[in-house]
Amino acid sequence: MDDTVVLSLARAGFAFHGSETQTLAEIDLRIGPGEMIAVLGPQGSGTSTLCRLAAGLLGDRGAVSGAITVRGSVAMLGDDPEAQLTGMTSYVDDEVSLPARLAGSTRPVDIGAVLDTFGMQRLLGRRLDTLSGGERQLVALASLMTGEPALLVLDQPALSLDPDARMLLVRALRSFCDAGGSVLLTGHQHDDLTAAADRVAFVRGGRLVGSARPAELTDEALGVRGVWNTLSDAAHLLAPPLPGAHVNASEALLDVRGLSVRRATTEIFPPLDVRAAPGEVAAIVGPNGSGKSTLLRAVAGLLEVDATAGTAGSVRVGGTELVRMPAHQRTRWLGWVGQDPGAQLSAATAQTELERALPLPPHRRRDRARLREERATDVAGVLAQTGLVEQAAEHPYDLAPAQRKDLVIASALLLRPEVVLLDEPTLGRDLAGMRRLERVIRDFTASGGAVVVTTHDLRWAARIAARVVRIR
Amino acid sequence: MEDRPFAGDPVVNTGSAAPAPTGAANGRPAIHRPSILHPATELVLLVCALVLTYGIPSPLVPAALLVAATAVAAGSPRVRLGRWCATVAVLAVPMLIMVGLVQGLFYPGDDLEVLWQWGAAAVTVEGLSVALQLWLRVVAMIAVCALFAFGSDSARTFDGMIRLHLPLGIAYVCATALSLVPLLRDQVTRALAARSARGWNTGRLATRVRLMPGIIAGLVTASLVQLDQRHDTLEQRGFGRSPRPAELQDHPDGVAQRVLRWGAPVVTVLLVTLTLGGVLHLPTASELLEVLRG
Repeated sequence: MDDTVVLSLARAGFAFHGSETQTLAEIDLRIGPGEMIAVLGPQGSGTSTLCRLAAGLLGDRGAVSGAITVRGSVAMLGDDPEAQLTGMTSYVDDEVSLPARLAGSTRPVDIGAVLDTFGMQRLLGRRLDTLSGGERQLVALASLMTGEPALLVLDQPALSLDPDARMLLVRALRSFCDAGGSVLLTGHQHDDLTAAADRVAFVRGGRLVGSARPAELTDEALGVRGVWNTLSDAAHLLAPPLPGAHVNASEALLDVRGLSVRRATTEIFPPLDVRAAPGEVAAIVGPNGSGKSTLLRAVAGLLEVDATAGTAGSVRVGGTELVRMPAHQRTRWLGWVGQDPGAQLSAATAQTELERALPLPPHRRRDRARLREERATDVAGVLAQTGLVEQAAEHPYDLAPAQRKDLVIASALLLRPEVVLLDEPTLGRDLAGMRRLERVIRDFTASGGAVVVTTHDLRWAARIAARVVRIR
Repeated sequence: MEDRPFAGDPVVNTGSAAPAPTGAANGRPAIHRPSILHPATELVLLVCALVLTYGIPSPLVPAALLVAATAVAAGSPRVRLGRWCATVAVLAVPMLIMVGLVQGLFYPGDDLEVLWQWGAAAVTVEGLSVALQLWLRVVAMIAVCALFAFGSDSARTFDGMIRLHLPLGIAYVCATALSLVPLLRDQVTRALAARSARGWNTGRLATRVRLMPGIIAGLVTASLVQLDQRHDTLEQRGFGRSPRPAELQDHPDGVAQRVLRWGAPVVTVLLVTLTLGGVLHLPTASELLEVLRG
């Protein structure tokens, strides 16, 4: 292997044990020192498998074909922020210095400087279980980079990152490449990181199907490859509020006023107003750790049982004050979909999951069969609405991440709520997944419902939302 | 959905959250890390306490350990006394009832000193002695183990075992086991929140019991997946590449602690040997009961 190549895949392929088809086939890819290469493709195209293949993590899980050569050490960051921390440490400092310690070194690591690379010096000394998904992702990456790998393999690294954090990450990766490191990025969305790559290759059905320079990429070119484009000039989103542009409270279906959340002595976010009229979408944007998810949980009443959290303010839907109600009573008006679909899922099939997701209404025993039939009809309806009919018999954990999220959205729709709260629904979606999500939102708002979404995808927020709430 | 110009009010609210103080996030204060003992010393003391509890047949030893554990729990900045007490109570009270019923009321034998009898059930001095000794030993064991678990985390456990030159695999398994507790607790909280957001009144015990099979099934699947992912993540950080990793945290250590780590086991073995050899005599449970009866 010559010195100008760090990773070389020559006609490389991979098939999982028990699978008749190749997940990856005939992959030819070379990455040299200082190069950053992005590989994009729709869900199921093999991007994550390619990462694991390059990082040597597929070992005993299937059959590898072709030639794979790596010069130097490889470090990989996966796509799930929950799974990127080791569980061996409780504090940011310890997690960042972990590679050095595991290598047997007690030399001091300049943790502050490493975190500062990602603009995350404020995380110094923090407990890991208090970090947001994006913050966890950056801490994990900071930890990996202290090991000074020759090749960084990043699977959807911008997944949970706000625009500022993405730009910091771009700078950090560029510095890494300037110092001779190499980066392989993969994902289903074209974003600031893939735009900063030297070259973008596309994968479909496990095979590389072409490549382009980032500057050549257009919506059409990406659409043909099944990739969602998150890039746009979204500066107008940061403009000050237009005077007199606020919706009248009487028109608002959801009317949240002066909502704030405190934990102990810390204010998570200052008093906020969020309003959405029937048929409208409101988007909540803001940096990592600003409290977007906490805001939705507070609206849904999920902080009521959290002894460490205190909420203040008003939450009204259609004129009904919900703020004193426990979460289960608010479901008459609100359907909440959290960031992590795994917490919701427990049944053996998607259909059973939906059939059991909600309690049956109070009934007499003789009416139970009828109610179950009605539930089955409703389930068939939401499966069709969310495009999951063909996956009805599959185990929820066998679904693609976006489909798992769609399954949880389907369970929220079963409630027939007036307002749906979606926490980061666009994470990791390809073009088809985004279209599916937009169709669900469009159908819901067309019937007079209102939707509140949190997102880091400012372009999408501008595309679908009538109003945006920015939390700093 | 059609592309359209950005309608209405693009920004409804702005504001800036107060920065979290150092060591705290989302209002949750960080647990103070400083500890006067190295985790290896804590582990040695834990093992010595367990050996003393079961090696010396006197209820005075577990009783003394219980008092000492309570004092440490009350004074430790890393252990919440209420949580520790609740854990010990939840585990010890059912044990007390079980031991009281089995040994206290139905102790087998012919030559027994009966204090009270009703049918087949009889309160005997011998039964009470065994019940008292057994229960105190179990409570002391729970108390010291809970004290260690609540005052430690995966990194401390790992560091303690590495310093004691235990095999890396064992240190990893023990540290991972300790990390499972908060992982499972978080997952249960999130699963209950998710269900309450679907209309289940999870505040009711009956609802929780009904939902339990589904939650446990989801919990097992999610935990297995997460443990597998964590192991991969740890390998990415270089776990296993060095046969002797360094300790994951910096802990206070010195001559006094090293002496304690060697001295405590020696003293423990000596005390147990002297007691079993009859040189050192501590009152047994039956002797104490006799004293109490006058």
